[in-house]
Amino acid sequence: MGLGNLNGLYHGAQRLNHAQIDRWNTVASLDYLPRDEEVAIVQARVPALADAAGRTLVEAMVAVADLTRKGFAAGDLSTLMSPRTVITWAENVEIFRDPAPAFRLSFVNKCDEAERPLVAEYFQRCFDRELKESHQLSDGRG
Amino acid sequence: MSEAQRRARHAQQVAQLCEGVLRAFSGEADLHFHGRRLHRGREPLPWFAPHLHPLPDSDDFGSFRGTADGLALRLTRSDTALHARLCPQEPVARMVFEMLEQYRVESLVPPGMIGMARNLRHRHVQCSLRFHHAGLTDTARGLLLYAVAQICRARVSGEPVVQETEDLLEATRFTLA
Repeated sequence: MGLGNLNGLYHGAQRLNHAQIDRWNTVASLDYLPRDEEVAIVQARVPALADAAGRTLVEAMVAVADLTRKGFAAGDLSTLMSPRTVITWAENVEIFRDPAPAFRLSFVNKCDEAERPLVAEYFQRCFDRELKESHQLSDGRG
Repeated sequence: MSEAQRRARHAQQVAQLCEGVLRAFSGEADLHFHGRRLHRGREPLPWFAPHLHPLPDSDDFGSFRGTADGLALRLTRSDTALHARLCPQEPVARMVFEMLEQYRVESLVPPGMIGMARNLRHRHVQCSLRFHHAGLTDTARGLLLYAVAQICRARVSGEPVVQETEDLLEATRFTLA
């Protein structure tokens, strides 16, 4: 609760001082939602993806988001996908009718260029498609 | 840049991408390749199944992807203590046991990861054809081992056996049935 973080990702957010934190007698620790609940939230926010095909798509999107979060925790990425980013991605899918350009506009363009090949690997695992930064496309042996 | 340097750099890039996927899927931040062997921190991990060892000079990037995905599933979907307790001592039996456990975990791809399933299939096909084209299916034992691998993976994963060698398996499959 209000502890901020050490890497500057949330720079500008006001953190609570310890005296204020001590005034709360119940303290909760919040992590990301279970995958099914996050899928349900995204579908609720973007009704065009509420059918079975939409659920399959959103499951893949949440799987990518989960990989970016763990990649961030491992120190491989300096950016991660929040649930808000996934919702934005889903809204962009509705506009562009294609998850790849929507993913680029929602998340990839926020990433450091050196990290994009790894993000492309995450995307390939979940969508079986290549982003232009994919090592597969630059590997002469395919 | 010399050819040797270019190949070394390429191998390093591939290893870094595979490590990144392994860390992201497993949530273990200290996984990395040292040489061609996966380590957890400073501890080398077991070699696992035979098809998880692609060669940088002859295998394509898809095979390395399939290997990384196979290792990720092996680390997250297998009970290490139970596996070690049940693993036979005799070398060939141990190798087959390890291979079957790998096929089991490779059938447990999470929903929403169709690319991972395709990478695992790609690696299986590439490794099977390499085994076959190397002449190892020309011997009775080699063919038996190959047939066991093909049949068991097909049973566990629900995918077909490798099409190119399907006819080759019939006699052995009939004998095993």
